[in-house]
Amino acid sequence: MTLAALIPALLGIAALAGFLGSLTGLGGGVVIIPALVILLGVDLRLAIGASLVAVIATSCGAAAAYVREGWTNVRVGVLLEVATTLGAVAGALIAAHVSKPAIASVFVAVLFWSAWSALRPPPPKPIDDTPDDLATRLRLDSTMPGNDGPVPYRVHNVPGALGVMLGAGALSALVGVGSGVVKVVAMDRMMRLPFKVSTTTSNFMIGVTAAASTGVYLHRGQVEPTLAAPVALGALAGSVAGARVLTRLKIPLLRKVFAGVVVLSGLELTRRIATGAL
Amino acid sequence: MNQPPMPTPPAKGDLERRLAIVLNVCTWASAAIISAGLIWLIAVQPGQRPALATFDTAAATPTTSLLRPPYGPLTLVVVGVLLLVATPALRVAFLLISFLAARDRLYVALSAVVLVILTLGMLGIVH
Repeated sequence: MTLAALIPALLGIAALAGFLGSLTGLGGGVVIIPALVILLGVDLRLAIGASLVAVIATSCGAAAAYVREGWTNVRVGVLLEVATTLGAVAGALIAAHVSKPAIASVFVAVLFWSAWSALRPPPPKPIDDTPDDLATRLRLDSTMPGNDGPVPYRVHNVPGALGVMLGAGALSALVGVGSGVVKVVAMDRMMRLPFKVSTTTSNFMIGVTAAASTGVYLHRGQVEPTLAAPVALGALAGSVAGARVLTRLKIPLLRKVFAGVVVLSGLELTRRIATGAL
Repeated sequence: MNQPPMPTPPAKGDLERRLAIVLNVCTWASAAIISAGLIWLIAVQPGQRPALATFDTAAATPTTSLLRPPYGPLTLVVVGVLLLVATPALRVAFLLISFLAARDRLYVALSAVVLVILTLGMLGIVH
């Protein structure tokens, strides 16, 4: 494809992916990578490099809005980033020694997991008021915006969450997605943060995590600018648009559409792995 | 049941507002630079076909090598991409300074660790 046709095509695909990813809260990577590989015949490793830059773009775009609203727990973010960035650098280093079909298989697993969690959002949980020793010493407990002023909440199971985050960082680097799914599980189920605090704090961290692995990929030449730049730009525009219309759309239907697209691309990638085309 | 009271919330409005501004400026500046580079690229080489179908890890040249002369539209695109990739690091640096101002030693140390890991990756010290 010539640049004059390729760049607009990439902008369009990434904008749609960023829009869907932002509305469903699952990030654009799970849509961008299959679209690049299946529709445009891009090499998986180059698609991963481009997707990571897009992940940074959407995280920066959305994080600014959330930080302003006061939902993000900056301390929890910084603490967990120590684990995710370590994991990300390790994952990027490992990726060079992992075969393409193996990376593709891990990616397909992430696709099916994302589709599953898009259809089954975590049930609401009762507020846990018991103080946690380590969380208290690390001063992680904070407040979130409420109707009648700030509402305090407590943080739990810090070591468990750090462990999961190490894995989330490595996964993010290996297959080029934000792995928001893993992060939200750790913060939601393990640290028992309120849902909106965990999603916004996760978004805050996703960019930092992706930047750690992208640094490694930049020096390996895996970030092709003619691919990564339009993809990042499109994803940024799509996610900002998604955040604007978030309140006006029927999210349950959208999550089903998202899950359907993700499952179909997962099946197509599985076929390609099986036939040796990937 | 005897429970300690919930802690008083830390003052966070000012820090977060400034952080949001830093993020916004960097993100949109890099978007503008990338857009300019891409328009320039299409204008001078509309018919070029980038090789995207195959990637050879061993034969690839670092993306950062495009920053060397001869300068052209791709230089601008790469500058924009690098600014975007550096934005999260700037965010961490900004947090570090804010924690420093608040004399929050533990979080100064933690942000410094994150910043060091990011810098090691970005400067190509580990690859």
